[in-house]
Amino acid sequence: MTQSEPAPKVLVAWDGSNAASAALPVAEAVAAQLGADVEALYVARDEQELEAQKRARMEQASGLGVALRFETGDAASEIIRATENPGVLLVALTTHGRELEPAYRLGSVAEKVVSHTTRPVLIVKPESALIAAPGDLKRLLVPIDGTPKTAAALHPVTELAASLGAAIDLLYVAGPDEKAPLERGSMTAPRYVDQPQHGWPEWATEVIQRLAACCAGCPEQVPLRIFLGKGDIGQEIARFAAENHTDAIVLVRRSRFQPGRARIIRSVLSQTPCFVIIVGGEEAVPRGEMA
Amino acid sequence: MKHRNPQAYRAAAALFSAVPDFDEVSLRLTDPTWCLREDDYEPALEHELESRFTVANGFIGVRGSLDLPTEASRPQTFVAGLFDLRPGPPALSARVPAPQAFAIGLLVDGERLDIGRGSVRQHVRLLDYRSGILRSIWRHELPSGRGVSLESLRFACLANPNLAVQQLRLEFEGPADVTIRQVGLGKDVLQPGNLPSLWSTNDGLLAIACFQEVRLQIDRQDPSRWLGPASLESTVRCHRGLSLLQLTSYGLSNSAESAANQAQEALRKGKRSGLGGLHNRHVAHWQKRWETSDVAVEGDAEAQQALRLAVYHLNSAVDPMISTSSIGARGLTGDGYMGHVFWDTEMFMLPFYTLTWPEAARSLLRYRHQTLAAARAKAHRLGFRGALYAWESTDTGEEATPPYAIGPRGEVIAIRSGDLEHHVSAAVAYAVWQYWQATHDVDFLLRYGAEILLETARFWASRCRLEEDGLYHIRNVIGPDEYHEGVDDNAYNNCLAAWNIERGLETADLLARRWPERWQDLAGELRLNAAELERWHSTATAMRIPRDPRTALLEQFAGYFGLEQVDLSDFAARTAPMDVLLGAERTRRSQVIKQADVTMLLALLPEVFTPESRKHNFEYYESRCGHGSSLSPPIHAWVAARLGLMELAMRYFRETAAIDLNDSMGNSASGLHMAALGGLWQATVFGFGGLTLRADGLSFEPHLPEGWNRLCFPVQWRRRRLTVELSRTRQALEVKLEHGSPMTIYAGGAAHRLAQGKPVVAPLLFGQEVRG
Repeated sequence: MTQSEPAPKVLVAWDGSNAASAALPVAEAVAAQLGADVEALYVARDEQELEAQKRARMEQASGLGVALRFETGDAASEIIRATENPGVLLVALTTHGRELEPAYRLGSVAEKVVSHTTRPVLIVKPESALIAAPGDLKRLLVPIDGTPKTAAALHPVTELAASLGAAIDLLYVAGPDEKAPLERGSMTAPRYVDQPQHGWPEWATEVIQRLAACCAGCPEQVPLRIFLGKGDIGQEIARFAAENHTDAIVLVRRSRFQPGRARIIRSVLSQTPCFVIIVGGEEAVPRGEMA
Repeated sequence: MKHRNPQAYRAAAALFSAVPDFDEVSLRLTDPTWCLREDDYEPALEHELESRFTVANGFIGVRGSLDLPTEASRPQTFVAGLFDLRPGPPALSARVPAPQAFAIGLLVDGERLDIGRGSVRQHVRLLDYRSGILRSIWRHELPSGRGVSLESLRFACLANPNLAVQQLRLEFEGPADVTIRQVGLGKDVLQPGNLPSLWSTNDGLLAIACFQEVRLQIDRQDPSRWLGPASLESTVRCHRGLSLLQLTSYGLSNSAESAANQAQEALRKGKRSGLGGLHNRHVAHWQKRWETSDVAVEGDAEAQQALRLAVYHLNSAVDPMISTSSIGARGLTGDGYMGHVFWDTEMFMLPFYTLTWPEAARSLLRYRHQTLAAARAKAHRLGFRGALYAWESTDTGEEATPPYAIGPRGEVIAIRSGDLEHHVSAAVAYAVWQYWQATHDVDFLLRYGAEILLETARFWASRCRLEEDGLYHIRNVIGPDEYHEGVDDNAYNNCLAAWNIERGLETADLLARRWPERWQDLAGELRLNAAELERWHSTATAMRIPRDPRTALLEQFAGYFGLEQVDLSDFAARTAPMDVLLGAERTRRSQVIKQADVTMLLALLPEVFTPESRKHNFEYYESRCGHGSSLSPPIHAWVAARLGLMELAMRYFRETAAIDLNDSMGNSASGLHMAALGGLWQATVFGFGGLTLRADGLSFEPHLPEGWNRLCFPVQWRRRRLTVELSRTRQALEVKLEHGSPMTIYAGGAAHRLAQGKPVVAPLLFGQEVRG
């Protein structure tokens, strides 16, 4: 590293609530794995609130052993702005802090951050962080939909996996009534497999190579495996994660969190205790709407 | 600019300008059904495009990769028959790529020409089916802002099959230093030989020679002398650009000397001919191939495009001078299926060659004769007699089926095809018999074909067991439907076994009557006596064919009717095969079938069914077929067309066409599906054309699909050349004898005498079920 390069860090959005504090040990564990520092960010609505909260929060953060910085303004906007600072490798936050949004399982602040930051966001469910102490992220589950644009969005994930020393399990889920994506260059499961002894290994090789071609390559040291699941996508991702010792599920967000969209992210968040990392991708054209 | 030697300059012009350039060809190729064109660069599509744009001549296959490959490329060159032992476990014979034909890198003032860096202004690949030449134009702005253009052509020479040819023309703005680099010959999988251009396989059984020489022309000045790889690597100062002509020759043999001689000779001839000569002879050879194989469709450009792609790649897949190898599942277009040869070749591709290029068919069948010893050994190993061909075959014919696979869910799948899928022997016999019927090639029959027919018949006779019901049974097999393994009395298997035994008996009778000396020799060599032939007869006539007497439905195998019925319409939009969605165990317990099985029988041996029961059998099994194989849609198209179910036939025809034209299966990246390409031709000629081979001639039951105004195809039959035309305007079939002596054909329910100048005209059949 040269002197001009900022120190790598994991940024934690923290509102001081018990729920939000659940992200801190996870962030610390991941930062240790990345060789990065942890920085917690507290956003006060205004100077008045900042004044009122500053001392207490500093003491609280000190007790938790993390560096804390303060900003004032709209929480989501300030967090998003902070995530774009050089050196931020990952943003960690809990599904919700002081406010609870049980219908979407993602609070409004978390939702905005996930929707607008260009950095990978590690989502921690407060309750799951209480169940077990966070360990290293050694195995990432990356569900794919076979489209080049989703693959392109995975570039930071492959870099992150390399930094973490983690392996990637790619999972394509086929459903009985799942239409193939219309995006040019998309690759789904093969509908015909003439001979499984050849067809499946070749499919696996092609998926991995195509993904590498779309996301500017995957570092050689990252072990990649590919699996085919079946059935409901959210359920299958959760099942796979539970059965295969997945440490974190990586999801590519290709739509905004409007009602009826980001269906898979919501489904996975509601079904798995696993950590979820969300990365942004280019807005997807809904299936059937592309010429 | 003044040239020191005007004569040399003219020679140089001839060397590099003897062929039309991209723009000229592009303007001339106005009919999109005669070419394959890609106007874009999308890295995710590279591998499937490389397969589709392959140029091959039956000996060499060069994938249609970018001239200057990127990280997204899989540039590979294949040489027919280049198999090596792939390290295990399990160690298996597999085709390995040859040293790459075209492997050059270019830098302009230190900037690497890479389509992934800078801005693409234009990139077009254009494969001209007529000439078997792939051309490309690439106009690009480098990251520095400099504009460059690279135009290329390449072909695997049909006139000199050991030679691949490439020409590159680089132009750019302003003077610059151009650096030429060898970017690797792709020889890492082979062992270096004692000369720089020689390698051997790791098992030490084969030697391959690859010679490359290049001529350079800078700024349209005098071209350089021929340069070898060592002296090619250089940096040259150019004002406008350079042209580069590269010849790459290959030789393959079990002796290094012989391999080197083949390659050297091919290179020497290529250098002497120059680009113009090579190009012209190559194009002339392709023209001849098209004259005897083009299938013309009017009124349906999509169908025409698919058929031209199919015929182009089928014509590219065989060199009739080679009988030591056959066509792998992916031909020479990719490394898929390890280059292994399956029943695909005989059942799906051979009919095309037999009826349009008998010399090619003969060489492919000679490969099966050359591997007869291995087929005998396999039968013996499994406790049978005669010849049981390998389910997956390579150069030796020994079984090369992997014993297991890792499935898509990480599970280990036992692969039992190598032990239980025996219908490949009947497929070989079927192709031999069809070739004999179509050619009456006596030399082939006596030297090769008869032995195959007799030894495969002997295998089936030994494979059957007489049981208490007085019938012969074949238990524990896999039929074409590989979702159900270890089944008893598979109808397709048993019918083909009986048919194969009958053809063995017919061959014995034919030889004994017409060539008694040869029969005596062959019977002696095979230790075949009258008693054994009598046993064959008893077996064939008492073979168990499971059939429901009430419905006349053939039961695909014993117990099939009792399995769970699954409504496949619930899975209509699936992207994965049915055995994945249902799971292997439930699939086994269900009536869901992987591919045409009884339906395949309807195509090959319709006489097994009463005319009235054909449609019923087809509809019953069609509704249960999951089409988990690329072999399935073309057979369904063929049978549906014969039954007059034209809408359905066209749906399956288009599904077949899309497999490689649109990569609808998602796996053209590792090569094209040669059987589906052959199947498309069969669906057209046997299905829509309604062609059937008979002992005494050809018969036609023609159905022209809706929207097709005309279908026209050539057929060769016993040294004759026929043209078959189905016309909507005339509502008629017309068969012309272009060359050869008069013959009998059957059409419109009657026999006709066909002679030159006296075409036979008969009415078309429109969308009705054919009776009889």
